[in-house]
Amino acid sequence: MAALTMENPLREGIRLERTPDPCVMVIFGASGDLTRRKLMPALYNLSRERLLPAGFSVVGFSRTEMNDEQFRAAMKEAVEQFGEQGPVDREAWESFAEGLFYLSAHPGHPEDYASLSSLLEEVDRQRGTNGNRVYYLAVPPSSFAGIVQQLDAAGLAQGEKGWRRLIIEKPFGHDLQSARELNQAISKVFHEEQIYRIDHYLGKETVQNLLVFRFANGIFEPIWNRRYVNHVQITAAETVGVENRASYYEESGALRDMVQNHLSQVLALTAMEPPASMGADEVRAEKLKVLRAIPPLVGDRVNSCVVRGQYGPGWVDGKQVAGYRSEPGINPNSTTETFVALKLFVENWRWAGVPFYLRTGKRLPKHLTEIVIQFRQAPLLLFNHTPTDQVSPNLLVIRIQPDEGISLKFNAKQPGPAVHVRPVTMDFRYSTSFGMASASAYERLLLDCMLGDPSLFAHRDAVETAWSILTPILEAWASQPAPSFPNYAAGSWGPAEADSLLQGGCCWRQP
Amino acid sequence: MSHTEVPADAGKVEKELRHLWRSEAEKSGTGPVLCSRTLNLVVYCLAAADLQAAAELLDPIVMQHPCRAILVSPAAANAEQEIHTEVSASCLTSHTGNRYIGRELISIVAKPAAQARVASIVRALVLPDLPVFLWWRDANSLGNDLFQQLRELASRIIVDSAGLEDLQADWPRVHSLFQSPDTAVSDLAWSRLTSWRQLIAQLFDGPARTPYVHRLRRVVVEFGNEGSSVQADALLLAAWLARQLGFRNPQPVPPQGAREQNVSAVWELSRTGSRLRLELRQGKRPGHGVCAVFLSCDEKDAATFVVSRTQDGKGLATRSELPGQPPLRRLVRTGEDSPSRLVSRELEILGRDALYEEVLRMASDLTPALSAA
Ligand SMILES: NC(=O)c1ccc[n+]([C@@H]2O[C@H](COP(=O)([O-])OP(=O)(O)OC[C@H]3O[C@@H](n4cnc5c(N)ncnc54)[C@H](OP(=O)(O)O)[C@@H]3O)[C@@H](O)[C@H]2O)c1
Repeated sequence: MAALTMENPLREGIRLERTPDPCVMVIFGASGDLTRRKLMPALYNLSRERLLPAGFSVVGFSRTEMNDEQFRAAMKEAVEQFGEQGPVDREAWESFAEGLFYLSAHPGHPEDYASLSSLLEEVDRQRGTNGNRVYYLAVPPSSFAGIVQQLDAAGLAQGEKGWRRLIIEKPFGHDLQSARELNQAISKVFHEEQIYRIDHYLGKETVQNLLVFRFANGIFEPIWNRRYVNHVQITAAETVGVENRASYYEESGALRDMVQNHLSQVLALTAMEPPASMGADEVRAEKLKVLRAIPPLVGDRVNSCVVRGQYGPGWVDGKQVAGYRSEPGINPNSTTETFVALKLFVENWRWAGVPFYLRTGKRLPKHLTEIVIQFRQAPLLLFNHTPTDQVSPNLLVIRIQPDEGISLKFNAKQPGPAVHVRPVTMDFRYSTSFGMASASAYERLLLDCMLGDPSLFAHRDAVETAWSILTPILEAWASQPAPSFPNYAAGSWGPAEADSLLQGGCCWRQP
Repeated sequence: MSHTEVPADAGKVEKELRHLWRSEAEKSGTGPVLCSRTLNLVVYCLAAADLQAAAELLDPIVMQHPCRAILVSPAAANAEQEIHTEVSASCLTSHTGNRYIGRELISIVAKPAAQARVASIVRALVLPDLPVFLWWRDANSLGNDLFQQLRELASRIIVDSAGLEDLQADWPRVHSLFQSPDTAVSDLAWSRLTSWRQLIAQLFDGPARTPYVHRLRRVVVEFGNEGSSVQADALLLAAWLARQLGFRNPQPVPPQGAREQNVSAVWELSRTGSRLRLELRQGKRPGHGVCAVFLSCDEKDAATFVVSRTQDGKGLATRSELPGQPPLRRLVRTGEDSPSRLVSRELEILGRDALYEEVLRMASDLTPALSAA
């Protein structure tokens, strides 16, 4: 990688946010949904915020026939439809759009990569992008490996001048074996430090804030361990069904779609040790240690520690909705799980014996992601005078979305002559303390990649370790008779068995 | 939002605020409302007539930074009361729909005889454990007694040096105020330059372009045609460029022969082995503040860079020309630099801005030549 040979002295000072080197982002699958919905609105917003370098350019690469003008028009429409700013400012858009180019090309054809190569050289010449490239694979995962090989064959993966980076989208494989194969195929061409695996959860402001909350405050870390914590719950609930991603979801299911990536990352951030610094390597190493300390569930433990579910018809948010098996594009006898709850342990000195309960599902009553730390009870219950006085345990709830915030539940005396104990909550909401809405996860992640900061991207080791925890579950399920799905009604909190996962009289928090 | 008059007494003000809260909670009907405050903002206004304008500027600020705001101003000569205090509190709704108390406004208007009480009331009213920002809206009274008393409370002072009437005369005085080791300063004139600095810096990012920044030999900063003297924004930007490029020891260059049109001031600065010609000049564009910056390298390079405000004033356009390459243009929207927006940004910063202080020093070295303007 070419280091900056000379510093730019105008960059000094606290108020100037970093901007990446001039570069070109090549988007494979630029005609697709992700590009329109997420990538273009994020890039345009970054440019509006002056966070992109002057010569920043995009080259769209997909089979659909379009010329530059048509691509620009389509992208403008996408930004207006999916961006949050409404109609774009004409002049600012035109200035941004001058850097958008499109190549109608087939990802399997070597000659199209030769055209890509000459187009990129032309862009370098015109816009000063200097050989810096981000390749974004916004195509179905089946074509990841092929494109990477073609980039290699065309000499586009490495180069004398500038840097080359690769962004890939989840799913990173569908089990341990396929994840390894994919990683191997890519690592033949790109070094690990060139590879950016996007997990958009990690781009969310509150997920990042978890580290600030834990490590910028002195009061939480001392009690963040098995001596004080009874258990941890992580819930990621969606109200939507499969929407328009039926064929993807049928193959994937909740465990692959949510637990392998998002929930295991949130778990790692919750449980990790303080890193030596906030550097990408240090943080990722600590997260990896957490995942490595989770013993995979094998044999009987799959049945005692994992509950899967699939929704039947029901009511969500006042609307009657169909069961999973009646959704368009879904096999009427599908055994794909749309809900999963797990009990995991992190077997290290800090957490040995503390259960971590994870649950995620579609068509649940509310859309939210939260982490709940339930603390142990006070050692002596002095105030249990009457049966109506139940001293409830302290809960620290970290809400990741929506309406990010932190609340602490503790007990207080109800005013009056008798001692009646009531739980109360102390609430902190980001939205009321910081008025600004935070940048979208994609904005943050795209910028980080261009700046060469991999902190918020998944490392190969973490991906494979997460798969090694989950693959035995997938294998056990495959070898068992088909479950009696559906087993929960849309609009409920999942199958009843999920409640019996929790030990010691604890229960899931009703968010 | 209704204003309630209360006696000028911190205890009574607090009591009235608690009462206002309770009635907000009753009005909302959903039980207690959340309360969020992240800072104290003390605002000094030039005159009682300015209070209303200042309160309006606060509206967008409190949406971003829920706070207790204390507005202070001298009373009009014919005011009936020695000191007059009003409070109001209001509920806001966050972008996620939470209702919360996020704005408490206390205004204190005092005649000179009661000035002495003002600082003590303010001291009793600032919320503990939260930073105190002092926004001094009248650059020309910086340093007066009330300022000296209030600055002791403040972790950060916000001023706008563009409001100084006589830059050459006042700059050294203001500069010395800002040098105190325990006060951080936000100068809105400097804040307005953030987007300029960002875009100028971006012209030289990347290994192909960074070398040119070291070869710049001529810098021209052009400012709007309002007023008859150099403006603080332009002076700061020129000082920043000169300093960052490593040039020191500015020597005024007297106007040549027949005075060049509109040129306000020219300096020559030096660095080992090279010189920089730095010009501040008034352009034809209407308004205040920086309009354009022209940067060029020595003749054999023939590289030029221009950043200029767009006609509508809401964006910046850049253009760079390097030898043997097509010119690269760009236009970005910066929005209007409204005082609310600028102050809001400053409330996010707690520490001192070391670079600003360095730039101030360079600007002070440039001021003596301004008399030539
Ligand atoms: N959409 C989302 O919200 C979302 C969320 C998370 C992750 N992802 C991931 O992001 C990637 C892109 O998602 P997407 O929704 O944009 O996908 P998409 O719309 O289905 O596909 C993107 C583009 O890829 C091209 N393509 C389709 N099949 C291909 C094939 N077999 N070989 C080569 N190119 C093919 C198509 O362009 P041409 O026909 O013009 O070549 C299509 O427009 C996927 O890996 C997906 O899993 C998407």
